[in-house]
Amino acid sequence: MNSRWQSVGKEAPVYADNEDAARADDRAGVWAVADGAGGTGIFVGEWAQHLVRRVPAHPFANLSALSTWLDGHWKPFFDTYQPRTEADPFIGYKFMYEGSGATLATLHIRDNHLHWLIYGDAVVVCFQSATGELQTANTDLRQFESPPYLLNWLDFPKAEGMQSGTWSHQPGQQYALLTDTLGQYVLMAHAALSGDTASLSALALQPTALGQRAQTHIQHWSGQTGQFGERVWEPLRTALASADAFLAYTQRLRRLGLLGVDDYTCLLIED
Amino acid sequence: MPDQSPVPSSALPIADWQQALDDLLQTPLKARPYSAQIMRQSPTAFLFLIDQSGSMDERTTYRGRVLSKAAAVAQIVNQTLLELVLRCQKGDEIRHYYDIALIGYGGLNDEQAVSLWSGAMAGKFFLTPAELAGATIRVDEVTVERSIRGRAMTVTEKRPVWLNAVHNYRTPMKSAICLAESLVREWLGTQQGNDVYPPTVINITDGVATDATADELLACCERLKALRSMDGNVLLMNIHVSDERGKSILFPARADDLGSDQYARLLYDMSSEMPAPYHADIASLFGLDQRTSYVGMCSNADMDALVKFMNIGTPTQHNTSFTTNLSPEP
Repeated sequence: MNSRWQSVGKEAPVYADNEDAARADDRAGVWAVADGAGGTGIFVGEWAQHLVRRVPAHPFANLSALSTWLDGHWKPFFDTYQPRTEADPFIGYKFMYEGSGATLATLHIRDNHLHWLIYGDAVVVCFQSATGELQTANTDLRQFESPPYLLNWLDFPKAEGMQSGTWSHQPGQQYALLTDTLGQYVLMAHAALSGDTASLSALALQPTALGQRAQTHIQHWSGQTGQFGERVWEPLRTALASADAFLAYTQRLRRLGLLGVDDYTCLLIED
Repeated sequence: MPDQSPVPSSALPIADWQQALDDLLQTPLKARPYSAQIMRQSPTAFLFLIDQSGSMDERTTYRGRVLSKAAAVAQIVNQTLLELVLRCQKGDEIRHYYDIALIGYGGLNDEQAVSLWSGAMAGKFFLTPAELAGATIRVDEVTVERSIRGRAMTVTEKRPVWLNAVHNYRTPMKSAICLAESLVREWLGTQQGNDVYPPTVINITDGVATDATADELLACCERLKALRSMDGNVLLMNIHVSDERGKSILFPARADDLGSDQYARLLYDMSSEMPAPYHADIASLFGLDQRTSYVGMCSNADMDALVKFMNIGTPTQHNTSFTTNLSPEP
C-alpha cells in the first residue's frame, strides 16, 4: 500500500512549531501519528517523534504489550532530556511533575487485515469510496470534551485510554490516521452529512468553542446529506499533495469555523 | 520606592490605544463568548490584586502548618505564577501566552496600590511569562519524593518565589481596583483588534477597603467589569480569606444566598458572574450543584478554597475540562 501525509503547526505560517509527528513505512506496513500534548509536560514534540519512530513492526496485541513497549523506550528519552532540565528550575519542575505526553495512533497491515490502535483522542478511519461508507475507530464526539489520555514516560498507560481493532482490507478502501482536531473535523462533518445529527446537536448545546464548532457543522453541511466523499474526503485527500496545499486547506476550514486551532496531521493509506 | 502611578507601557501612543479601545467597545460581542484560543498572536492577561494590610498577619492553616494569612497567600500566589510560566514553557522557550500583573495594596504603602515586581522588573506592571521567569526574588530548594513509573525517587525541587509575605498598614483596595482598570484599559487597547480572551482580575483580601465607601468601591468595579474584548467582559473575582471562623460562601447563585452578611453582599456585587464555560469545573471542583449562575466570589474561604479558586480563575491546569478549550495548547 502507498501512503502520503502532511503536518502543519497551529500558528503556521507565522510560527513553524509543530508538536505532531508521523511515520509512514509502506514497505513494512506500519503507519503512526502522535500528537505531543502541549497542555501537559515538556519536550512533547520530541516525545511524539520518539514514539512514532519506535512503533514496532507488529501490532500491539493489548494494553500489556503497549505498556511493555513503553517500558523499553522511555528511559533513553528520559536520559536524553533530563540533563537539559537541570539548569532551569521551570523546565526541571515541569519535566519531573508533568513528564512528556502524547496521543498515539498506529496502523499495521498483516495478512490483508488492518490492525489499528489508538491511545488518547487521535482518530483512525476507513473510507470505502465505492460506497461512501466511513468506518471509524472512535466515533464518539464527546471524547473531545475532556482532556485526552496521554502516553507519558512518567506513568503507565491506562486501559481506559486505549482502543484497538481490526478491519479486513477490501479493494478501494482507504485509511487515514489523524491527530485529534482534524479527526474531530472529519467525524463532525461525517455526522452532519450522514444525517446523524443527534450527537452533534447535543454537543452544540455546550457553551464552548467545541459546541460552537458543532453548531457550525450542522449549519454548514445542511442540505448536503450523502456527499461526504466529495465534500470532505476528496478535499482532504487532495490537500495532502503538498505542504502548501495542506496549510491552505486547514486555514480555509478554520476561517469557516469548521476546524479548531491545533497542530494538524493526516496520514492517508491506499492501494 | 519608584513612582507607581499607572504609566503607559505600550509602544502605541496613548491616543492610539484609547481610540482602539473605543472602537473595541463598539464591536459586538461574539455569539459564544469566552471561547477565544490563547496563542502568541492572541494572548490574555491575568492581574492579581493582593491585600497586604496589617490584618494579614493573623494565623491560618495551610497544608497542615499554622502560618500567617500573608504567608499562605504568598505560597499560593507563587504556585499560581509558577503554573502560568509552566504553561508557557515549550521546550527551552517560554512563549508569550499571557501578560501578568501582581499588584499589592497595604504592605508597602498606606494609600496607594503598587506593582510588586522587583529587581530589574521593578516599576513594570505587566510581565510576559519570560520576564516573569527572570523576575524571581529567590528560588527555594526542597527535597521531595517523586514517583516515576511507580518507582519512588528523591529529587531536589526548585520553587521560584515572586511574592514575599508582607502585612502592614491599611487596606487601599479601591486604589488597587482603579489601577487594575487603568492597566486593563491600556492592555485591551493595544491588542490590535485581535479576538483575545478577556483579562481576568483576581482580588485576594481579608478585610474591607479603607480608602473608599462601599458605593465608591462598587463604582470602580463596575467600570472594570464593563471593559471587554469581543470575546467577553473582563472577569473580576474576589476572595475573602478568613481565619476559618464563620460560614464559607463559594460561588453563590443569588444575593439572597448570602443572608444578612453585608460584607459578603458587597463582594457579591463587586464580582463577575462566571461565564458558562466555567460552570462544570466550578461545580466539580467545589462539589456544588449544577446551576445556571455562579458569581465569582468566596467569603470566609480557607486556604484550600483559595487554591481551588485560583485554579478556576487561571484555568490553565491540565486536569480540568475547561482547559480543553482554554489552555494555550490543546
